[in-house]
Amino acid sequence: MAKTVKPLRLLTALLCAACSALLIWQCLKIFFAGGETPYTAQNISRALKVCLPAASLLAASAVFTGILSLKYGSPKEKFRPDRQYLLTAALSRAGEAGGEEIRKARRRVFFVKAGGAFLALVLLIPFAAYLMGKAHFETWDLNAMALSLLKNALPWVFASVAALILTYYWTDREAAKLLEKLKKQPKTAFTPERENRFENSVLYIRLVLLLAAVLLIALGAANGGARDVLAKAKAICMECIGLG
Amino acid sequence: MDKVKSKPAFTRRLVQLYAALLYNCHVKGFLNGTIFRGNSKVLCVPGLNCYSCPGAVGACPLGALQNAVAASGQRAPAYVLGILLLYGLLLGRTVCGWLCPVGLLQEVIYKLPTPKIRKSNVTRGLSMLKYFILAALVFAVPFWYSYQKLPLPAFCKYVCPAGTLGGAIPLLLHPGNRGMLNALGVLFTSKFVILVAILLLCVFLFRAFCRFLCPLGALYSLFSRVSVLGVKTDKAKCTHCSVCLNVCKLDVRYPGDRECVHCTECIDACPTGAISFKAGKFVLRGNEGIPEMKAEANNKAKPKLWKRCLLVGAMTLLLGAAFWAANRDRADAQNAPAASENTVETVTPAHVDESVPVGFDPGQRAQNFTAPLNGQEGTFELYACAGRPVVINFWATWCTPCCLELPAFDQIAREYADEVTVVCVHSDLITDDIEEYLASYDYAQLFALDETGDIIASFDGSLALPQTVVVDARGVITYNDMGSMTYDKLKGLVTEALSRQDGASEE
Repeated sequence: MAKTVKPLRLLTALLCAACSALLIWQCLKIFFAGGETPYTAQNISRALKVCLPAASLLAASAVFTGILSLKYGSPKEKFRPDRQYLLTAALSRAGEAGGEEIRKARRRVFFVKAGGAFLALVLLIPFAAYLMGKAHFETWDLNAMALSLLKNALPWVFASVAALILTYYWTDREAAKLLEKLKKQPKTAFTPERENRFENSVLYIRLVLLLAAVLLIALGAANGGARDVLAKAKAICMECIGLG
Repeated sequence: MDKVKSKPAFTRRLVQLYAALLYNCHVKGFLNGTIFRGNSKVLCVPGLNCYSCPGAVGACPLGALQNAVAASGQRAPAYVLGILLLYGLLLGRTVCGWLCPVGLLQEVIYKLPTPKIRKSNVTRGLSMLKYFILAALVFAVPFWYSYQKLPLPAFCKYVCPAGTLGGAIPLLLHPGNRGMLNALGVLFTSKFVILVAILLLCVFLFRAFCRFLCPLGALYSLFSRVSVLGVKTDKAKCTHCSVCLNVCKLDVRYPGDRECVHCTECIDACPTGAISFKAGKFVLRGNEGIPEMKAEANNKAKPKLWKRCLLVGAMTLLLGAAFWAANRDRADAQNAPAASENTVETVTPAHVDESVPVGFDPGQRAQNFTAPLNGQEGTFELYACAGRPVVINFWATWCTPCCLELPAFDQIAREYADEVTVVCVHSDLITDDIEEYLASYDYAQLFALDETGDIIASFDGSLALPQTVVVDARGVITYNDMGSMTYDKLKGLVTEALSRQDGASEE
């Protein structure tokens, strides 16, 4: 019985995805059916009726799998992060107390990451410019829009992602090398002076921030900011709930 | 060990539930399909909770921040910034782990028994996305549009799932709000798709919205090193064994960093007791599994049962008091006055059809009203419009869809200057910037002010703007609905009202 828990969990996952896809499809179907007011009570109830069997299946599967998991135990949740994650975390901590060489290497890795991120952002600019061009979205011909996106905009997205992947690969290799070096170094003693200095300054920072907060609240109440918050909160925010 | 683990988790879940119930204790709102309009909404709740939710009794900090930034042309957003600074300083991301209803929802959804996605450097990298969203959608876009006098809460409008789930769906489900369905369009469709996608992601990734998208979490994370309450790591005791990283489901580098939501699950895992839940220098909870910590805990007098019961009782009383205060009958303008009441006592002019009963639905006679004009001397009176159709638009300077549709009313006013009267009546909330706003434009329609909120209430409005009412020459309402107007739609309504007038005059 315990062995059936894993496939049941997979089934529940598939049903989740199916339900979500069905909901999205029904919503888009109603919208693209057109008309001045596409959403009516009848349309919505019809759409919900279509989704009901899948939702019921999902609920049944979730309950059944949950009961089995409680009784026979679920597969051990592997929240252990992957090796690269631990590498990066250990490296960032080691850098605080490590030697000069480690610190320089960390700085190098940081600049490469920053450069990689900047390059990725720059490569996204043509994509953003394409999205801001109203002419590309004048008609609702989805096929034409998809083709146009594929031809003009998506190559830039792929280039940006490639830049990120290359940066990640390089920094990961550097991190692995640094960690090996770090393991060979003698354990650096924790320096309490730096930590104590920070702890002392935190108290002053908190006091300053507290004073600033109180002053800002008082100023805001005096200049009408509080009244604005109340006025906006008292009325239904049409945009927030997607009306309009 | 399990007992030690389950108690703190249960406490946290209880606090989350209390917070969610406290923020949304206006139960009447769900039953009546209305929102709470009490003065407690001047206070922002710490967590993400849409103020258009029928149950919400406080303001959403994120929505309030965006609106304050959008109005930064008129006044500095000091009040909201001060409140967020206070919450960040005192609580930091403890709000995310203990006081946020959206966080609670994500954790509940995550309990669905499915395979889960592990955290990795990719998820850690993706966690930077929320800072981009904070900078772009919460600050930059509203600030940019404030110069064009268009209040635009970009995150609320385009992304926020709490608005769709907590606000839209409960309001739309109520039978009394069927009229709102007419206002649904591309915006609701996109927001609904985003909501479903986020909920699906939360099934497989722990707190996916919190980690990757929530700008409120991003804001609070800036206070991770200085917040008073939260999980802290004693670096003198830490041996960098990474056991805490293995236990934590979030993308932390160390417990208490910017990604930590202070759920305290790592405290019992630490073999050296380096992690504790602190309020300033006071340790609220340490790892009682470690012998020295256990000894220390044993030396402290355990809180007596009666004290625990007192605490639970006090919290329950507080919740009960909040429920009572939010749901008692209020003497405010939430309900429209009875149809038989007249807003203005006047002699009914001859052109007004007195045989039609007074009301606010199409086919009923509109109540007469008088409102002072903006930008000129005198008042506007509905029944004084000498037998011509009147288009009434209820708007406000702080309502973006209202501002965007004013040009359409201007165009109609110019085209039908001799046949139709167009008047835009401003809401009674925040009226000190109307003159300044109108001075920037040269609109042809009349602008008036609803000083008390009675005028819009007499047309069954007040909660949602914009609202448009078309009254024909006999004073009978031909159209009354909320939602944005286009020029074409307005023209159609005006033509219909004019054709009724021609038909009546032929008779």
